[in-house]
Amino acid sequence: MRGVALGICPDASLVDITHHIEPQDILGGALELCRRLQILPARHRLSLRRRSRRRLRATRTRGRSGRAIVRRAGQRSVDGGLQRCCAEARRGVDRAERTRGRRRVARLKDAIGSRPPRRGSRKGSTSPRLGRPLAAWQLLDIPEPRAEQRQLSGVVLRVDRFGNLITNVDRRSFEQFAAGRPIEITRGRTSP
Amino acid sequence: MTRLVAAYADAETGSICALFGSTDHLEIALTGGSAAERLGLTRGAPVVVRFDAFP
Repeated sequence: MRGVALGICPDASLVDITHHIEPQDILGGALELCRRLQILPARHRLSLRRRSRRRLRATRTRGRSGRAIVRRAGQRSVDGGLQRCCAEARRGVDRAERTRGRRRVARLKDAIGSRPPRRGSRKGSTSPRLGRPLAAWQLLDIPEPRAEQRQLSGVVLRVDRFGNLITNVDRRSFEQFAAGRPIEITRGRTSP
Repeated sequence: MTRLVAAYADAETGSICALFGSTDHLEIALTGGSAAERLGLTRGAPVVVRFDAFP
């Protein structure tokens, strides 16, 4: 795929951003992709490729003009439509950045679920080169933190390559309960 | 752990801290090391955030 991309757009620079994701770690890949989509500078595009059937990688591409072409027109999608959905999500993030203060896209799902802009809009009209859109989403089952009287109970969703523990306690739930009060984070007990 | 920081750099080296990462999820980190190894936690480990923990 690198060869194809560079064949079409020789000036593109390709940067792997999920090379530390273990094979079959779909949740890890999804969280990383969601994270990158939000912090990726404008005029970059994410593409996904599957490696040896098991590994899914996201690649950041950038051309001289700021547009990256990752697949030939009419070519069948190699990623089942994920690439197009990333473009849709990226476009949602771009739009949210333009309307800063009114709304900020926090989740990949929200971004994908947003209504696409008209064709030919200034930023990010989805190219047919990106293939057919993904028809059936497989949503990941990410557990919600459980709120109790004076505590939020969650789980570690992922351990990244630095050993950081990423939990399912989101900021909104946290702030709703914290309200500026002192907190203590402890290791929970595993159910017998 | 009782310290919530804005960025990894705000925590003292070698200390465990908590912060919200770019995905807006609470992360537990050890500056200069692996929190997973230090705490012996892995994916699926339960975590409890207690409020009003101190009188």
